[in-house]
Amino acid sequence: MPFHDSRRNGILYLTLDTPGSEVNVICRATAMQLESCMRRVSPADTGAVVIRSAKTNSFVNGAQLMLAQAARNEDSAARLTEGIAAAYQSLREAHVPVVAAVEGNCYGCGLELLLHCKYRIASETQETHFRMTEIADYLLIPVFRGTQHLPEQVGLANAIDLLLWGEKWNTGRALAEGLINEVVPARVFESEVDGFVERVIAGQVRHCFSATQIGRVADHAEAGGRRNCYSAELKRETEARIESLPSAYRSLYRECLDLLVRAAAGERGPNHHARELASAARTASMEISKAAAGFFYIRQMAAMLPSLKTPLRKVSTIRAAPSSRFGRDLGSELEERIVPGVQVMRAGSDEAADPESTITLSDMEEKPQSPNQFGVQLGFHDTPPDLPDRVLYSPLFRSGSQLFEIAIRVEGDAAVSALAQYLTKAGFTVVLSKPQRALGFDQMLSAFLLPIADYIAGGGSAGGAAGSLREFGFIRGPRQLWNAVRQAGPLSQEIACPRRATALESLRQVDAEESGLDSLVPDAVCLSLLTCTPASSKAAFFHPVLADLAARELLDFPLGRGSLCRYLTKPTVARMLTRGSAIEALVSNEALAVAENFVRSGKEFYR
Amino acid sequence: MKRLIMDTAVYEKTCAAIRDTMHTARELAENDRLVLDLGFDSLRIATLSIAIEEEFGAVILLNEWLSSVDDPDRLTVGSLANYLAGATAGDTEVNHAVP
Repeated sequence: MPFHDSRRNGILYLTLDTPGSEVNVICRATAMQLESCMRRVSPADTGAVVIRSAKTNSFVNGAQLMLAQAARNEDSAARLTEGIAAAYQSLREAHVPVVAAVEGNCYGCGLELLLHCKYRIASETQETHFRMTEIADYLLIPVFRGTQHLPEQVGLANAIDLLLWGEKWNTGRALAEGLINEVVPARVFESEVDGFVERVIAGQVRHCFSATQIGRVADHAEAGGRRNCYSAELKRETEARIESLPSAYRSLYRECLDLLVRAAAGERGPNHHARELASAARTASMEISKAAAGFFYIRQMAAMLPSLKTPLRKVSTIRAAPSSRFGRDLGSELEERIVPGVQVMRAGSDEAADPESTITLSDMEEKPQSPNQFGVQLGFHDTPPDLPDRVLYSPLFRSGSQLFEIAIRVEGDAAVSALAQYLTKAGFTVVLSKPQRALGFDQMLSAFLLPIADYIAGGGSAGGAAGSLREFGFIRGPRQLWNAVRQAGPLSQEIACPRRATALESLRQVDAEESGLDSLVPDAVCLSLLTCTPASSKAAFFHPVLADLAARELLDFPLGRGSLCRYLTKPTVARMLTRGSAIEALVSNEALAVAENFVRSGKEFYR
Repeated sequence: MKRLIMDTAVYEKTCAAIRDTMHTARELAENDRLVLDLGFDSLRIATLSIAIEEEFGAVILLNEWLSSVDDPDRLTVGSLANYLAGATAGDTEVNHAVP
């Protein structure tokens, strides 16, 4: 059974451990067990219930994706979700205090579960984060009363940031905003939970169902009747931001905002839940939502590739000893990201470490091509010395990017698998590559920026290029990417030529993006990006899911298009090629050759 | 109407991929439900896609199969085999990458 129940000193501990999975998920069987346990709880023999996880990396990561994919209308959405909804409601309606002891990811419907627990304590680990993934990752509206409880408990502004804009909160932010009651260090988490529960039972802890921010809004209302004004102002600001999104996304965001505003204005209970379900069912059938749901599987597959056919190795120590500036910055960053069971050692440390489970990061013998190319040798101490270098690369690290490329020459490398697992636990996204002539991220940045540069250099407007890419679905836009690339250090020769660099610089002067433009620039960009996929033998990303993950994380490739390789079907590429000289002026001869060959004799990336 | 499984080879490969994902040698039946009987969730479906690639030599995302039913409990071994048979039908093309 997914929940293990145990009792100690009158406290019922329900410990979730989803079988056969690295993370916890709530399926209907899990929900049935939870509800059954909760319905049997009596104040006569139980002082409190503690919901916790047996997996240190995951409190609850999700539940509703498969349900959302099956939902056809409000009735089917209600039927499919009723089991989990009832289990969550049983937590909220319990006759004894329910405490969520959070360690690890608390995402999506895991966060909605949290919102049904009256008291909350969290362990201060790198993996303990709070995030509503529904819209940010799947373009879906949540179905377990998240749109109601978030405004109630953390206020409308925070609810908008979490749900609409996909903010990821660490424990400090969650504590500051009143989402949780307490944060404690991981090493004393268990004992601190016991103490916290004692204080809850003694009535010394304020429950989380009453929002601090709603309280502030109420104060405004008492002071000058500003509650509606506050909401109206926030609503107007948010609506303006929604208007700047690609047009295909706007109705989904407006619908979600409407739910949040209604809850903030006091709409509660079954009425609001019915409205939430109806919105969720309606939006789940939108093309952008159906396309986005598929990306979940691509992301998971990409994460599994480094460890395929590789025996699992435990890492206890990361020895970060590079002398480059990037290396030192990375070492500092890793030290701050606490991953239970792994210690980070810096250069000069004489602490003892088990060589069997130590990964060493150090400078590469060859000079790195860019300051952000963290040339490293890495490996367990018992790795054969003749294994070729692997390269760890994060071109936009200084701009806050959480994305790393690990370039390898051979697959099935235990050290790479272990390093990828560690970096993932530390909160980074890792993409594997096998470079033929250039690192995958460099190849992709060039393929993205070159058609834009040539369009502007050829007389096209920078605002037009940015506007048409926005309309295609790129939310972050080329201006932000160009800014980050400029800060990253030396540019590739292709981009650095004065004509192109000047053209890209003009992106920074764009005040307003133009709308109503045709799709020439997005077509050219996507055609150019075909050279970064397995359709080209010179691509570093040797599997479509790797190219897709890189395009999503590095370039913000639109979720609503599914993914780069799902979008680039043979008919789509064939259509792009029919644009003839217009597109030929913007993409390289190599890209044209790859595209023509792909249409003529290649096969689709996905069936 | 329920579709019969016409392609035994595809069915056997489908079962092999499911068993590989579950790390089991158990016998599977056509009507076994992946969610209710075999304990699949969305994460394990992603793992299954990797195993399917090993068996079929093609990357097949399963989201369209998942959204083809109005209840995840109707996702059976047989329905997956039929979906894969359709997805790989006429699959003789070779990916000629430009050198």
